[in-house]
Amino acid sequence: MQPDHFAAYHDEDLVRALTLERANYQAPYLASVAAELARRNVDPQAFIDQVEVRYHADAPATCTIAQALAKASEELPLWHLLAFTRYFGDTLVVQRELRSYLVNVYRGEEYAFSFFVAEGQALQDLLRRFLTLADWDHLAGTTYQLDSWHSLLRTRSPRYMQKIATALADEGLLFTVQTPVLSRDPRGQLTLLVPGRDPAATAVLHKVEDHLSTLRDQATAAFAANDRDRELAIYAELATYGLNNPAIYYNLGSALAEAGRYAKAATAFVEAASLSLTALDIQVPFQSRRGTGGLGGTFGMVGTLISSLKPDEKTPTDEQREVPDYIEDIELQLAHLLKRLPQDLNILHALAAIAAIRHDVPRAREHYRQIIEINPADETAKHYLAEQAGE
Amino acid sequence: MDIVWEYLTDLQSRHSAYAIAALLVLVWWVGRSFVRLYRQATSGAGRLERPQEEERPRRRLPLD
Repeated sequence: MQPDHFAAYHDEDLVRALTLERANYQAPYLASVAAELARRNVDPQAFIDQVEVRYHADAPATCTIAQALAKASEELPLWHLLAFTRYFGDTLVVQRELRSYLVNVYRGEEYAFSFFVAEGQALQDLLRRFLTLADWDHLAGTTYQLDSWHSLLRTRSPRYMQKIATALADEGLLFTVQTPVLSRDPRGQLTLLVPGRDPAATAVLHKVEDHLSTLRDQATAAFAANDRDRELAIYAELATYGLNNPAIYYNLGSALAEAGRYAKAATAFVEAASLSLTALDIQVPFQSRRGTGGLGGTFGMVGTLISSLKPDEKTPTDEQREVPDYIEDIELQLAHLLKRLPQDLNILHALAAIAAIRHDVPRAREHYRQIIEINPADETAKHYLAEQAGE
Repeated sequence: MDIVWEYLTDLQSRHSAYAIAALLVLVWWVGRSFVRLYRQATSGAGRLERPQEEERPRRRLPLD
Protein backbone atom coordinates (compact mmCIF):
# COMPACT_ATOMS: atom_id res chain seq x y z
CA MET A 1 0.00 0.00 0.00
CA GLN A 2 1.36 3.45 -0.91
CA PRO A 3 2.15 5.99 1.83
CA ASP A 4 -0.13 8.48 0.04
CA HIS A 5 -3.06 6.31 1.07
CA PHE A 6 -2.47 7.37 4.71
CA ALA A 7 -1.91 11.07 4.03
CA ALA A 8 -5.38 12.00 5.29
CA TYR A 9 -4.94 10.11 8.55
CA HIS A 10 -3.59 11.64 11.72
CA ASP A 11 -1.07 9.74 13.83
CA GLU A 12 -3.83 9.03 16.38
CA ASP A 13 -6.03 7.36 13.75
CA LEU A 14 -3.21 5.05 12.71
CA VAL A 15 -2.31 4.18 16.31
CA ARG A 16 -5.98 3.46 17.06
CA ALA A 17 -6.18 1.15 14.03
CA LEU A 18 -3.03 -0.66 15.09
CA THR A 19 -4.07 -1.13 18.74
CA LEU A 20 -7.66 -0.68 19.81
CA GLU A 21 -9.26 -1.57 16.48
CA ARG A 22 -6.74 -4.12 15.19
CA ALA A 23 -9.39 -6.88 15.26
CA ASN A 24 -11.23 -5.00 12.49
CA TYR A 25 -8.35 -5.21 10.01
CA GLN A 26 -6.37 -7.88 8.21
CA ALA A 27 -2.67 -8.50 8.83
CA PRO A 28 -1.35 -6.91 5.58
CA TYR A 29 -3.22 -3.66 6.26
CA LEU A 30 -1.97 -3.57 9.86
CA ALA A 31 1.59 -4.12 8.61
CA SER A 32 1.26 -1.16 6.25
CA VAL A 33 -0.12 0.99 9.08
CA ALA A 34 2.86 0.01 11.23
CA ALA A 35 5.21 0.87 8.35
CA GLU A 36 3.56 4.26 7.90
CA LEU A 37 3.91 5.03 11.62
CA ALA A 38 7.58 3.97 11.46
CA ARG A 39 8.03 6.30 8.46
CA ARG A 40 6.56 9.12 10.58
CA ASN A 41 8.83 8.18 13.50
CA VAL A 42 5.82 7.46 15.72
CA ASP A 43 6.19 4.68 18.25
CA PRO A 44 2.66 3.38 19.02
CA GLN A 45 3.59 2.24 22.54
CA ALA A 46 5.15 5.60 23.37
CA PHE A 47 2.15 7.35 21.79
CA ILE A 48 -0.35 5.73 24.16
CA ASP A 49 1.94 5.97 27.20
CA GLN A 50 -0.11 8.81 28.60
CA VAL A 51 -2.91 7.84 30.98
CA GLU A 52 -4.93 9.44 33.76
CA VAL A 53 -5.03 8.21 37.33
CA ARG A 54 -7.48 9.52 39.87
CA TYR A 55 -7.31 8.60 43.55
CA HIS A 56 -10.67 8.57 45.36
CA ALA A 57 -12.13 12.08 45.19
CA ASP A 58 -8.91 13.79 44.12
CA ALA A 59 -8.43 15.52 40.77
CA PRO A 60 -7.12 13.28 37.94
CA ALA A 61 -3.36 13.28 37.26
CA THR A 62 -1.69 12.46 33.94
CA CYS A 63 1.18 9.98 34.08
CA THR A 64 2.87 7.12 32.23
CA ILE A 65 1.59 3.54 32.27
CA ALA A 66 4.52 2.49 34.50
CA GLN A 67 3.66 5.22 37.00
CA ALA A 68 0.00 4.20 36.93
CA LEU A 69 0.89 0.57 37.61
CA ALA A 70 3.20 1.65 40.43
CA LYS A 71 0.28 3.56 41.94
CA ALA A 72 -1.90 0.46 41.61
CA SER A 73 0.66 -1.63 43.50
CA GLU A 74 0.44 0.64 46.56
CA GLU A 75 -1.80 -0.37 49.44
CA LEU A 76 -5.26 1.00 48.83
CA PRO A 77 -7.34 1.76 51.96
CA LEU A 78 -10.59 -0.14 52.34
CA TRP A 79 -13.32 1.03 49.93
CA HIS A 80 -11.08 3.69 48.44
CA LEU A 81 -11.04 4.11 44.68
CA LEU A 82 -8.38 4.32 42.00
CA ALA A 83 -9.57 5.21 38.51
CA PHE A 84 -7.42 4.47 35.44
CA THR A 85 -8.30 6.11 32.13
CA ARG A 86 -6.34 4.81 29.16
CA TYR A 87 -5.28 6.83 26.14
CA PHE A 88 -8.43 6.31 24.05
CA GLY A 89 -10.77 7.05 26.89
CA ASP A 90 -12.20 3.96 28.64
CA THR A 91 -11.85 3.83 32.42
CA LEU A 92 -11.47 1.13 35.05
CA VAL A 93 -12.43 2.21 38.56
CA VAL A 94 -10.82 -0.11 41.08
CA GLN A 95 -12.22 -0.26 44.60
CA ARG A 96 -10.50 -2.02 47.49
CA GLU A 97 -12.92 -4.49 49.00
CA LEU A 98 -12.54 -6.39 52.27
CA ARG A 99 -10.94 -9.46 50.70
CA SER A 100 -10.72 -8.61 47.00
CA TYR A 101 -10.91 -5.75 44.49
CA LEU A 102 -13.99 -4.59 42.64
CA VAL A 103 -13.41 -3.29 39.12
CA ASN A 104 -16.06 -1.04 37.55
CA VAL A 105 -15.78 -0.66 33.78
CA TYR A 106 -16.75 2.57 32.02
CA ARG A 107 -16.95 2.84 28.22
CA GLY A 108 -16.23 6.53 27.84
CA GLU A 109 -18.51 8.09 30.47
CA GLU A 110 -21.04 5.22 30.47
CA TYR A 111 -21.00 2.52 33.15
CA ALA A 112 -20.77 -0.92 31.53
CA PHE A 113 -20.35 -3.64 34.19
CA SER A 114 -18.35 -4.69 37.26
CA PHE A 115 -16.39 -7.73 38.34
CA PHE A 116 -14.24 -8.88 41.24
CA VAL A 117 -10.51 -9.59 41.17
CA ALA A 118 -9.22 -11.81 43.95
CA GLU A 119 -5.72 -10.44 44.51
CA GLY A 120 -3.23 -7.70 43.70
CA GLN A 121 -1.07 -9.49 41.11
CA ALA A 122 -4.08 -10.40 38.99
CA LEU A 123 -5.17 -6.76 39.19
CA GLN A 124 -1.72 -5.61 38.02
CA ASP A 125 -1.86 -7.95 34.99
CA LEU A 126 -5.35 -6.78 34.15
CA LEU A 127 -4.43 -3.09 34.40
CA ARG A 128 -1.27 -3.55 32.32
CA ARG A 129 -3.26 -5.14 29.49
CA PHE A 130 -6.00 -2.50 29.77
CA LEU A 131 -3.65 0.47 29.74
CA THR A 132 -1.51 -0.89 26.89
CA LEU A 133 -4.71 -1.47 24.87
CA ALA A 134 -4.20 -5.25 24.77
CA ASP A 135 -7.12 -7.69 25.13
CA TRP A 136 -8.18 -7.86 28.77
CA ASP A 137 -11.92 -8.79 28.77
CA HIS A 138 -11.20 -12.51 29.19
CA LEU A 139 -9.64 -11.72 32.60
CA ALA A 140 -12.88 -10.25 33.94
CA GLY A 141 -14.57 -13.53 34.91
CA THR A 142 -18.18 -13.23 36.10
CA THR A 143 -19.56 -9.76 35.51
CA TYR A 144 -22.31 -7.94 37.42
CA GLN A 145 -24.57 -4.96 36.88
CA LEU A 146 -24.36 -3.00 40.13
CA ASP A 147 -27.26 -0.81 39.01
CA SER A 148 -29.58 -3.76 39.68
CA TRP A 149 -28.15 -4.56 43.14
CA HIS A 150 -30.12 -3.62 46.24
CA SER A 151 -29.17 -1.53 49.23
CA LEU A 152 -29.10 -3.65 52.39
CA LEU A 153 -27.74 -1.02 54.78
CA ARG A 154 -26.80 2.64 54.86
CA THR A 155 -24.62 4.01 57.61
CA ARG A 156 -22.11 6.75 58.21
CA SER A 157 -19.97 4.48 60.35
CA PRO A 158 -17.16 2.73 58.43
CA ARG A 159 -16.47 0.54 61.49
CA TYR A 160 -20.05 -0.74 61.64
CA MET A 161 -20.07 -1.29 57.90
CA GLN A 162 -16.84 -3.25 58.21
CA LYS A 163 -18.38 -5.46 60.91
CA ILE A 164 -21.33 -6.28 58.67
CA ALA A 165 -19.07 -6.76 55.64
CA THR A 166 -16.86 -9.17 57.59
CA ALA A 167 -19.91 -11.20 58.65
CA LEU A 168 -21.10 -11.36 55.02
CA ALA A 169 -17.63 -12.32 53.77
CA ASP A 170 -17.39 -15.06 56.41
CA GLU A 171 -20.59 -16.52 54.98
CA GLY A 172 -19.15 -16.34 51.46
CA LEU A 173 -21.85 -13.90 50.28
CA LEU A 174 -21.48 -11.44 47.43
CA PHE A 175 -21.60 -7.74 48.31
CA THR A 176 -19.91 -4.39 47.80
CA VAL A 177 -19.87 -1.11 49.65
CA GLN A 178 -20.51 2.10 47.80
CA THR A 179 -18.83 5.19 49.23
CA PRO A 180 -20.24 8.73 48.97
CA VAL A 181 -17.60 9.43 46.29
CA LEU A 182 -19.64 7.22 43.94
CA SER A 183 -23.13 7.46 45.44
CA ARG A 184 -22.88 11.22 46.11
CA ASP A 185 -24.89 10.67 49.28
CA PRO A 186 -25.34 14.13 50.82
CA ARG A 187 -25.21 12.68 54.36
CA GLY A 188 -21.90 10.95 53.70
CA GLN A 189 -23.35 7.49 54.18
CA LEU A 190 -21.82 4.23 53.02
CA THR A 191 -24.19 1.91 51.18
CA LEU A 192 -23.99 -1.88 51.37
CA LEU A 193 -25.12 -3.40 48.07
CA VAL A 194 -26.10 -7.04 47.57
CA PRO A 195 -27.34 -8.78 44.41
CA GLY A 196 -31.14 -8.97 44.46
CA ARG A 197 -33.01 -9.25 47.74
CA ASP A 198 -30.68 -11.85 49.18
CA PRO A 199 -32.37 -13.47 52.24
CA ALA A 200 -29.03 -14.91 53.38
CA ALA A 201 -27.51 -11.41 53.52
CA THR A 202 -30.57 -10.09 55.37
CA ALA A 203 -30.26 -12.94 57.88
CA VAL A 204 -26.60 -12.04 58.52
CA LEU A 205 -27.55 -8.40 59.13
CA HIS A 206 -30.36 -9.38 61.52
CA LYS A 207 -28.01 -11.69 63.41
CA VAL A 208 -25.58 -8.83 64.05
CA GLU A 209 -28.43 -6.50 65.04
CA ASP A 210 -29.81 -9.11 67.46
CA HIS A 211 -26.37 -9.48 69.02
CA LEU A 212 -26.17 -5.71 69.50
CA SER A 213 -29.60 -5.66 71.09
CA THR A 214 -28.50 -8.41 73.51
CA LEU A 215 -25.37 -6.45 74.39
CA ARG A 216 -27.44 -3.34 75.14
CA ASP A 217 -29.72 -5.33 77.45
CA GLN A 218 -26.73 -6.92 79.17
CA ALA A 219 -25.09 -3.52 79.71
CA THR A 220 -28.24 -2.15 81.31
CA ALA A 221 -28.54 -5.26 83.52
CA ALA A 222 -24.89 -5.05 84.57
CA PHE A 223 -25.38 -1.42 85.62
CA ALA A 224 -28.49 -2.34 87.59
CA ALA A 225 -26.54 -5.13 89.30
CA ASN A 226 -23.64 -2.73 90.02
CA ASP A 227 -21.28 -5.12 88.17
CA ARG A 228 -18.91 -2.48 86.78
CA ASP A 229 -16.29 -4.83 85.29
CA ARG A 230 -18.91 -6.65 83.27
CA GLU A 231 -20.52 -3.37 82.25
CA LEU A 232 -17.16 -2.00 81.06
CA ALA A 233 -16.45 -5.16 79.06
CA ILE A 234 -19.86 -4.96 77.35
CA TYR A 235 -19.50 -1.27 76.52
CA ALA A 236 -15.99 -1.90 75.20
CA GLU A 237 -17.42 -4.53 72.85
CA LEU A 238 -20.28 -2.23 71.81
CA ALA A 239 -17.72 0.49 71.05
CA THR A 240 -15.89 -1.80 68.60
CA TYR A 241 -18.99 -1.73 66.38
CA GLY A 242 -18.47 1.98 65.76
CA LEU A 243 -22.17 2.75 66.06
CA ASN A 244 -23.07 6.40 65.76
CA ASN A 245 -24.79 6.27 69.14
CA PRO A 246 -23.37 8.83 71.60
CA ALA A 247 -25.06 7.03 74.53
CA ILE A 248 -22.69 4.05 74.17
CA TYR A 249 -19.60 6.26 74.53
CA TYR A 250 -21.23 8.37 77.24
CA ASN A 251 -22.06 5.30 79.33
CA LEU A 252 -18.62 3.83 78.69
CA GLY A 253 -17.01 7.11 79.78
CA SER A 254 -19.23 7.35 82.83
CA ALA A 255 -18.40 3.79 83.92
CA LEU A 256 -14.66 4.44 83.34
CA ALA A 257 -14.81 7.66 85.37
CA GLU A 258 -16.57 5.82 88.21
CA ALA A 259 -13.73 3.27 88.06
CA GLY A 260 -11.16 6.10 88.34
CA ARG A 261 -9.84 5.65 84.78
CA TYR A 262 -10.13 9.31 83.93
CA ALA A 263 -7.97 9.54 80.78
CA LYS A 264 -9.91 6.75 79.06
CA ALA A 265 -13.16 8.24 80.30
CA ALA A 266 -12.19 11.55 78.67
CA THR A 267 -11.56 9.77 75.37
CA ALA A 268 -15.00 8.15 75.50
CA PHE A 269 -16.77 11.43 76.37
CA VAL A 270 -14.94 13.26 73.57
CA GLU A 271 -16.13 10.54 71.17
CA ALA A 272 -19.68 10.99 72.48
CA ALA A 273 -19.37 14.76 71.96
CA SER A 274 -18.01 14.26 68.46
CA LEU A 275 -20.90 11.99 67.45
CA SER A 276 -23.50 14.26 69.07
CA LEU A 277 -22.30 17.41 67.40
CA THR A 278 -22.00 15.64 64.06
CA ALA A 279 -25.61 14.55 64.39
CA LEU A 280 -26.60 18.15 65.11
CA ASP A 281 -24.79 19.54 62.08
CA ILE A 282 -25.44 16.60 59.82
CA GLN A 283 -25.27 18.74 56.73
CA VAL A 284 -21.56 19.30 57.33
CA PRO A 285 -19.91 16.28 55.68
CA PHE A 286 -16.64 16.29 57.58
CA GLN A 287 -16.69 12.54 58.13
CA SER A 288 -16.46 11.78 54.45
CA ARG A 289 -13.37 13.95 54.29
CA ARG A 290 -11.81 12.42 57.39
CA GLY A 291 -12.47 8.82 56.47
CA THR A 292 -12.95 7.10 59.79
CA GLY A 293 -14.67 9.99 61.57
CA GLY A 294 -15.26 9.53 65.27
CA LEU A 295 -12.40 10.49 67.51
CA GLY A 296 -10.02 10.93 64.61
CA GLY A 297 -12.31 13.59 63.24
CA THR A 298 -12.58 15.57 66.44
CA PHE A 299 -10.28 18.38 65.46
CA GLY A 300 -11.80 18.45 62.01
CA MET A 301 -15.16 18.68 63.71
CA VAL A 302 -14.05 21.71 65.68
CA GLY A 303 -12.76 23.38 62.56
CA THR A 304 -16.00 22.64 60.75
CA LEU A 305 -18.09 23.95 63.59
CA ILE A 306 -16.14 27.14 63.61
CA SER A 307 -16.69 27.58 59.92
CA SER A 308 -20.41 27.15 60.59
CA LEU A 309 -20.32 30.05 63.02
CA LYS A 310 -19.40 32.75 60.57
CA PRO A 311 -21.20 36.07 60.95
CA ASP A 312 -23.33 35.58 57.84
CA GLU A 313 -25.25 32.68 59.36
CA LYS A 314 -28.94 33.14 59.98
CA THR A 315 -29.05 32.38 63.71
CA PRO A 316 -28.06 35.45 65.67
CA THR A 317 -24.94 34.88 67.76
CA ASP A 318 -26.39 36.65 70.81
CA GLU A 319 -29.06 33.94 71.11
CA GLN A 320 -27.96 30.65 72.61
CA ARG A 321 -28.91 27.60 70.64
CA GLU A 322 -30.85 24.86 72.40
CA VAL A 323 -29.01 21.56 72.42
CA PRO A 324 -30.38 18.16 73.50
CA ASP A 325 -30.10 17.22 77.19
CA TYR A 326 -27.55 14.51 76.56
CA ILE A 327 -25.09 17.05 75.14
CA GLU A 328 -25.39 19.00 78.39
CA ASP A 329 -24.67 15.75 80.26
CA ILE A 330 -21.57 15.20 78.13
CA GLU A 331 -20.47 18.79 78.75
CA LEU A 332 -20.85 18.37 82.52
CA GLN A 333 -18.95 15.11 82.54
CA LEU A 334 -16.14 16.71 80.54
CA ALA A 335 -16.11 19.75 82.82
CA HIS A 336 -15.70 17.44 85.84
CA LEU A 337 -12.89 15.54 84.12
CA LEU A 338 -11.14 18.80 83.20
CA LYS A 339 -10.61 19.43 86.92
CA ARG A 340 -8.61 16.19 87.07
CA LEU A 341 -6.96 16.56 83.64
CA PRO A 342 -6.54 20.34 83.17
CA GLN A 343 -3.97 19.93 80.36
CA ASP A 344 -6.08 17.59 78.22
CA LEU A 345 -6.49 19.34 74.87
CA ASN A 346 -9.12 16.90 73.62
CA ILE A 347 -11.39 17.76 76.56
CA LEU A 348 -10.84 21.48 76.01
CA HIS A 349 -11.52 21.20 72.29
CA ALA A 350 -14.71 19.24 72.91
CA LEU A 351 -15.92 21.74 75.53
CA ALA A 352 -15.05 24.64 73.24
CA ALA A 353 -16.90 23.02 70.33
CA ILE A 354 -20.01 22.40 72.44
CA ALA A 355 -19.95 26.01 73.66
CA ALA A 356 -19.41 27.27 70.12
CA ILE A 357 -22.27 25.29 68.65
CA ARG A 358 -24.51 26.54 71.46
CA HIS A 359 -23.44 30.07 70.51
CA ASP A 360 -22.05 30.53 74.02
CA VAL A 361 -19.24 32.73 72.73
CA PRO A 362 -17.74 33.80 76.12
CA ARG A 363 -17.35 30.18 77.24
CA ALA A 364 -16.01 29.03 73.87
CA ARG A 365 -13.53 31.91 73.92
CA GLU A 366 -12.46 30.96 77.45
CA HIS A 367 -11.79 27.35 76.43
CA TYR A 368 -9.89 28.35 73.31
CA ARG A 369 -7.74 30.72 75.40
CA GLN A 370 -6.96 27.80 77.70
CA ILE A 371 -5.97 25.77 74.62
CA ILE A 372 -3.69 28.57 73.40
CA GLU A 373 -2.00 28.69 76.82
CA ILE A 374 -1.16 24.99 76.51
CA ASN A 375 -0.43 24.97 72.78
CA PRO A 376 0.15 28.45 71.32
CA ALA A 377 0.28 26.95 67.79
CA ASP A 378 -3.22 25.47 67.87
CA GLU A 379 -4.74 26.47 64.53
CA THR A 380 -8.37 25.86 65.46
CA ALA A 381 -8.19 27.99 68.59
CA LYS A 382 -6.30 30.77 66.82
CA HIS A 383 -8.82 30.74 63.99
CA TYR A 384 -11.81 31.00 66.35
CA LEU A 385 -10.32 33.74 68.50
CA ALA A 386 -9.25 35.72 65.43
CA GLU A 387 -12.72 35.39 63.93
CA GLN A 388 -14.38 36.54 67.15
CA ALA A 389 -11.96 39.44 67.51
CA GLY A 390 -12.81 40.55 63.98
CA GLU A 391 -16.53 40.87 64.69
CA MET B 1 -67.21 7.92 112.45
CA ASP B 2 -70.55 9.34 113.57
CA ILE B 3 -70.13 7.62 116.95
CA VAL B 4 -66.69 9.25 117.42
CA TRP B 5 -68.04 12.64 116.37
CA GLU B 6 -70.99 12.41 118.78
CA TYR B 7 -68.63 11.35 121.54
CA LEU B 8 -66.39 14.40 120.94
CA THR B 9 -69.25 16.87 120.64
CA ASP B 10 -71.05 15.59 123.73
CA LEU B 11 -69.65 18.35 125.92
CA GLN B 12 -71.89 17.35 128.83
CA SER B 13 -69.73 14.29 129.32
CA ARG B 14 -66.43 14.50 131.19
CA HIS B 15 -64.89 11.84 128.90
CA SER B 16 -65.36 14.06 125.84
CA ALA B 17 -63.61 16.99 127.49
CA TYR B 18 -60.59 14.77 128.17
CA ALA B 19 -60.61 13.52 124.58
CA ILE B 20 -60.71 17.07 123.12
CA ALA B 21 -57.87 18.16 125.38
CA ALA B 22 -55.79 15.14 124.26
CA LEU B 23 -56.47 15.96 120.62
CA LEU B 24 -55.34 19.57 121.06
CA VAL B 25 -52.11 18.39 122.73
CA LEU B 26 -51.48 16.00 119.86
CA VAL B 27 -52.00 18.72 117.23
CA TRP B 28 -49.64 21.06 119.11
CA TRP B 29 -46.95 18.36 119.38
CA VAL B 30 -47.06 17.45 115.68
CA GLY B 31 -46.91 21.13 114.68
CA ARG B 32 -43.93 21.79 116.94
CA SER B 33 -42.07 18.84 115.40
CA PHE B 34 -42.59 20.19 111.89
CA VAL B 35 -41.34 23.64 112.90
CA ARG B 36 -38.18 22.12 114.42
CA LEU B 37 -37.49 20.05 111.31
CA TYR B 38 -37.96 23.08 109.06
CA ARG B 39 -35.56 25.21 111.12
CA GLN B 40 -32.99 22.43 111.14
CA ALA B 41 -33.15 22.10 107.35
CA THR B 42 -32.88 25.82 106.56
CA SER B 43 -30.36 27.19 109.04
CA GLY B 44 -27.19 26.38 110.90
CA ALA B 45 -24.18 24.29 109.91
CA GLY B 46 -26.22 21.18 109.17
CA ARG B 47 -28.73 22.90 106.91
CA LEU B 48 -29.85 21.10 103.78
CA GLU B 49 -28.72 22.85 100.57
CA ARG B 50 -30.65 22.58 97.39
CA PRO B 51 -28.45 20.72 94.85
CA GLN B 52 -27.42 22.67 91.75
CA GLU B 53 -29.00 20.89 88.83
CA GLU B 54 -26.20 21.59 86.36
CA GLU B 55 -23.68 19.72 88.51
CA ARG B 56 -25.50 16.42 88.26
CA PRO B 57 -25.02 14.73 84.91
CA ARG B 58 -26.91 11.50 84.45
CA ARG B 59 -24.91 8.40 85.28
CA ARG B 60 -26.15 6.53 82.20
CA LEU B 61 -28.08 7.48 79.07
CA PRO B 62 -30.74 5.26 77.51
CA LEU B 63 -29.17 3.19 74.76
CA ASP B 64 -32.16 3.02 72.42
